[in-house]
Amino acid sequence: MKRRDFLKWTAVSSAGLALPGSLPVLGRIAQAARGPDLVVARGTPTPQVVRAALDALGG
Amino acid sequence: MKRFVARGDVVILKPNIGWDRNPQYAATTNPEVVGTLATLCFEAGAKKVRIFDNTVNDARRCYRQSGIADAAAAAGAEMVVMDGRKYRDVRINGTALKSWPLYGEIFEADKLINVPIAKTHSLSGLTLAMKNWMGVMGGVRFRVHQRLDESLVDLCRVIKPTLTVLDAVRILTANGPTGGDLSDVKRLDTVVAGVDQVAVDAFGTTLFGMKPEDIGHVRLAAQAGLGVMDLSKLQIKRISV
Repeated sequence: MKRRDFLKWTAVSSAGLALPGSLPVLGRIAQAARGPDLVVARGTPTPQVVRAALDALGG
Repeated sequence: MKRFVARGDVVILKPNIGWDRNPQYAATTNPEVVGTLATLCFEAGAKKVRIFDNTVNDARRCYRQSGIADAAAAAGAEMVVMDGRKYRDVRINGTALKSWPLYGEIFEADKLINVPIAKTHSLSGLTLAMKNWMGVMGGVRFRVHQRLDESLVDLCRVIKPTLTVLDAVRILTANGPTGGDLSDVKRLDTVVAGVDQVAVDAFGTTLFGMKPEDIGHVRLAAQAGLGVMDLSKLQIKRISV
């Protein structure tokens, strides 16, 4: 990245972070990266439901 | 499971096997849930998977009748009859419990996975994940029934599972924890998984048409900062298989 591009990217990112509501958005992005808090899996057969639940939890 | 279990880990699975009943009565954790978790642990590289509970009825009968002994054997896991010499006094400094003998292996293992069943309980309202830790207590554990909610919260101050998987394949909607009448059993074909045991229990209450705050130990645990009870603050992913 060239110096001019870097400065432009920094300015745009900073402006974005300053907008109201941007922190919850960042929080949601971080949450998505580490997976949901809870997984509720339903169906049959049971072994497949357990596997699906663990997969969805990020396991 | 690789998020939770690493190669070479010794893993403890702690189901609810307290009663000498077969799985249809929903008094004990579903054996397929336990067996599949054991298999997933081995697939993630676990060296050993050990399964136990301090049962109310005779342990060997409970292990066999629940179907969990067979499920464990099929997965290559070890069913352990708990050894009275392995309890150690653990300093808790809680509201109701200052110290209590707890089963040492749960602190020595690399990973601890709580696998309770969801059912009603005559004293605590429901027995879910937090209540399942009574199965690692030694001593005269029924003494804690005098201050049950506070005692369960105190246990959760020192017992921090890697993962909690709540079995709601069948739930016991009345006459828990022992059950014995199939008309009290409701089939939901559901499992709830999470890291926060208070959050798992909070969601578990909804399976019975209740709210998290309806159950004393869930409410107190959230107030103590041991987990989140407010379901609106949790990211809950629902999937159908």
